Amino acid sequence: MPRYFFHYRDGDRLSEDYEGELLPGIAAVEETAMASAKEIIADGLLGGNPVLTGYSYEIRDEARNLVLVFPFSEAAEKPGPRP
Amino acid sequence: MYKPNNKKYKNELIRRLSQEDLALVEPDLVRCELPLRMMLEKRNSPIEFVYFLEGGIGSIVAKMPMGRDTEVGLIGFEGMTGTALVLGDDQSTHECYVQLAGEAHRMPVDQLRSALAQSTTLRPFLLRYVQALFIQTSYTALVNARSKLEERLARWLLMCDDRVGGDRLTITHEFLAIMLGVRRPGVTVALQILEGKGLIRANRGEIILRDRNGLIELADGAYSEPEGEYRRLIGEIG
Amino acid sequence: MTRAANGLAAKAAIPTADSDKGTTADARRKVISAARPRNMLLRGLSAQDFALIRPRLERSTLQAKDVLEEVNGPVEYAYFPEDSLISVIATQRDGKAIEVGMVGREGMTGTAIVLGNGEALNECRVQLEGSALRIPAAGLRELLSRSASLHAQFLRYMQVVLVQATQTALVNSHLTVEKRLARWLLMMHDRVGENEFDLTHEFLAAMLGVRRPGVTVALHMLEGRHLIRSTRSHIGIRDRAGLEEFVASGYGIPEEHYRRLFPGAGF
Repeated sequence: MPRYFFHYRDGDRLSEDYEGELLPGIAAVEETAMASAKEIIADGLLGGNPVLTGYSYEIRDEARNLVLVFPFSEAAEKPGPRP
Repeated sequence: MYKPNNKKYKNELIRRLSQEDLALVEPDLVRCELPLRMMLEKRNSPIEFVYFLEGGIGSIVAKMPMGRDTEVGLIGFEGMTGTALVLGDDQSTHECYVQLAGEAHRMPVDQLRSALAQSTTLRPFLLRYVQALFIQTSYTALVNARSKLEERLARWLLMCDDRVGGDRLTITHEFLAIMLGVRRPGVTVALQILEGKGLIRANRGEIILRDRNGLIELADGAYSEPEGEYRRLIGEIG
Repeated sequence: MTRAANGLAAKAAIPTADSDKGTTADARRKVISAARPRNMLLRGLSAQDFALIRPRLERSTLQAKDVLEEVNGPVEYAYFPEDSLISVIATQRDGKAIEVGMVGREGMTGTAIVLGNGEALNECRVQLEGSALRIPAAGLRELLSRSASLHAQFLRYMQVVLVQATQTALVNSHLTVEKRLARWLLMMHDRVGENEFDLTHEFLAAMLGVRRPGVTVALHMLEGRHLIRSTRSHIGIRDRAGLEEFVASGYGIPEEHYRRLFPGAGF
């Protein structure tokens, strides 16, 4: 299974994911991004914060190729797997 | 009442055993390495060894059949695995595995059981640790329902640091995800929030605690109250 | 802080199968039937251990919201509920609180007595009024030191208490409020043995650690699934099997361990 790195972008700032995780493919990458973003948004809401739609995951493979950009706004607006 | 007299051990429980109880268990203690991910207890299986940790971190992990692992207990040199045994059960309800490599003194369960039967003081002492662990777990239930991700992260980092020392933690995001009960990518987000507040610095695979007091404040009572209970029940660490 | 002692003497004189006809009212107050006890933990004791503890037990009536143990406070009695229900609540000094366990006819309070230390670890508060047998802490401590098998039995129950807390930690991080509510109703049903409960939404909210309107929404959803019947401050279980299916693996682990550890208790 390939390893994917979920870097997290907040405006100009990029927090690097040095660890990455093994996932079977792009569909699983998208599902993980969706579920994780839903989780973060829900936690933020419970903490009294506005929805963090300006953030995104930038997911790269081991060769550092950009595989997917996943804006948190998608998780706020679209259905997906239960986190 | 429980003075750390047995100074050749790092484990806070063994350090505090009475001379008689130490004499009872010492012949059966075997020093062993605890490599990362070593399984110390299997879910719903008989316990084979009890580990008194000297260093490193063991994590008690509960699992929903369809879901992800979630940590419900953290054990370092202040504690032991096998609390079910001290309570008279022979099997573990949860998995317990090594999340940060270290060492331990381990003891086969039959020997511990016979030591517990021979001594009138050993079980009461170990039951004090069971109480401390019960309080830790109760607080975990509390923060899981009531605290924000970053507050829970602050608590876990402090708890890990207590067991490792040096304000420098080499823990994986995978482990932090289990502690927090979230998907792994979310850990990066939570770490970034703490970094933004100047409380930690997250480097490749390493987390540096920059402001312990700030982290304690952020954890908002979820850290330090259970730790105070440990001191009350067992004693000062270190 | 309220205590459950009010009105105890009046309610305690329950006629029993073996009570001596000639004893005074005061002596009879303490006579607890030697027949099958209603509390399952007591029922699971050996005849010898039950004979040992029985004379020390007295029946007490617990009122909803009575606080039986306060965090770090002294534990005066261990309670064995008969048809009452008690919540074990983890409480932070700033008042943040969550339920981490539930004690009904299958269990006992007084964890700190059995585990050896004097101070209460969590708060114990009465959830559903009803009766319980109780024994003073000093008396229980003495019996525990006299009978290893009695101590072993109660220690094993503490293992179940610990498992309840760990499972609560787990579901608090993974289950929706609706599922946690369903789990909670199932656990209560197991421990009280009735289908109908008088419970305010405010109380449920405190137990589950959510705001009160969220409980109203969750109850409404369970009702929509035809699993419960809910009116103001009253909840009835309509479909237990359906509730179990709905919560799936979120429910049942402490109960499973209880049955393994106490096969004779009839839980």
